[in-house]
Amino acid sequence: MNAIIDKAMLKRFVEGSILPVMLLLIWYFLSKARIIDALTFPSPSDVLNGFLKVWKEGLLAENLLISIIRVSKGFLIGASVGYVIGIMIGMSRIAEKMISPVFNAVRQVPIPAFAPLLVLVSIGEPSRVLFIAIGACYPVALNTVEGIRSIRKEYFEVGNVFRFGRIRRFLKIILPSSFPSTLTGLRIGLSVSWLLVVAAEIFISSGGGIGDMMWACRETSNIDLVIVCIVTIALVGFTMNYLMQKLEIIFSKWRLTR
Amino acid sequence: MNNRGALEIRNVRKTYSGKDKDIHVLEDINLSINPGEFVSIIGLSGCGKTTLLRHIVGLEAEYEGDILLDGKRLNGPSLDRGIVFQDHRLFPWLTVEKNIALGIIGKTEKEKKEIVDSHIELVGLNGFGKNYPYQLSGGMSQRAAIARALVNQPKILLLDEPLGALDALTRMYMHRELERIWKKENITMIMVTHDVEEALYLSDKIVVMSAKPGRIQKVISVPLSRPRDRAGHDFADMKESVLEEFMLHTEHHFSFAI
Repeated sequence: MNAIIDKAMLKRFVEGSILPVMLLLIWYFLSKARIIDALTFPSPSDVLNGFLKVWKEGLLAENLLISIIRVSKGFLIGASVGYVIGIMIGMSRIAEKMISPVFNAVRQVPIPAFAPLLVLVSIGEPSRVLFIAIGACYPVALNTVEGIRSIRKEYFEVGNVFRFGRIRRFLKIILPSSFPSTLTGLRIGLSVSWLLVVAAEIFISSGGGIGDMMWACRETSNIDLVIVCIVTIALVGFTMNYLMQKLEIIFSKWRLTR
Repeated sequence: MNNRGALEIRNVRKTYSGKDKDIHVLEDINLSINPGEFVSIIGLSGCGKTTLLRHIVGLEAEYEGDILLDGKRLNGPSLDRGIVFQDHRLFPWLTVEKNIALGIIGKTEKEKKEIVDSHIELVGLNGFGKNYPYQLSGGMSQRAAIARALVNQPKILLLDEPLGALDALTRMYMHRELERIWKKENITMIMVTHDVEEALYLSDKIVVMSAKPGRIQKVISVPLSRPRDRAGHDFADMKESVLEEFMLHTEHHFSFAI
């Protein structure tokens, strides 16, 4: 590893940690001074103890795994459908005219509004996965269309000179040049999926998962565990986004041209 | 090898129908270019020189009259004509190697690699095959674009102001390189330019075009021996006679003979 990069990363890490550490300290002292009542709001040590308890019991890992698998399924389905829709709208005028109005109308409906309908499909897992898939679909589709729209016409002329057919035009021009934009869509889609998995587990409950666990803890007034769940959700979401951003940077390197 | 790449342009005209009146972009273009000749088309902006080139390469398909390559009327692009654009139009998402390989079809991977390597060698880009376009200078990008246009061994290479975006010194260096490649490949080259010196340095024949409507004003053959000496007396004389076509020559009130 390069020492300079490590140093820069360390600096960023320290700078980013200042605010959360400060908040943690304030919370700690407020609890310690009994300004916050321990009965209504737990202290940091309560939360830590709660975390250790559910971690040892395996409850947290188990529910986290359920959520991650659920998100993976929903995201994969949604992103694939979104990509196909994006490619169709981006490549074909007829498809654009036919699909765009419906797509843009459906897009205006908040995802939770689909929940009552999804329960009709099934009361269990498929409806939760579908709930996530709907949310993951839009950003991927929109960004793919945007990526295709922004391809310079000049590149297609080069393709014409070399007598590219439809397949080569897609594989050599459209797919690679729109991919960084699609990747942005995938990153946003994954974030949305992670937000929605919690909502899905609350709306369509008792299927396990981190959201379900959080809701159950709320019902039993284990606020310390609710906070454990919230922090876990935040950290997992943060990590996902971070990794996707890294991937985006790697795949957009060639964009330095213009 | 010298019986290929003969271009015959007969009574070509191109009209865009405008709102009130038609715009005559090209009118009565008659020109014959011998195999292996280097021809420059020179003229002020808007004289239709690029349009003519685009017709020859086949990117503009509709025209009146005939453009014949070795006796066959041209209709759309074909691999027997290569083109280098002013903006190199390398695909930024592909390495130099892969850009050069774009036009190759129906070859095994091994043959493909050999063709690419030999063309990298031809344009003097050894060692840069794995680089991306954003890592290349303007001159190097144009070298790569020339290699890409030559991989299919076209009969004619068309050059649309290929050196227009380069600095003066790099441009002079590229003139030598172009001449070397032209001799080595032994093909017909047609270059659009508005640099009189460039045209004189490289061409067997200079086609001077005038605007509104775009037509050929004069065809000047350049009988100077190669390699040409820009500082030579004959070169300067020829330059004056070309500039005369644009009313840009120096007025000599007296002439002395020694």
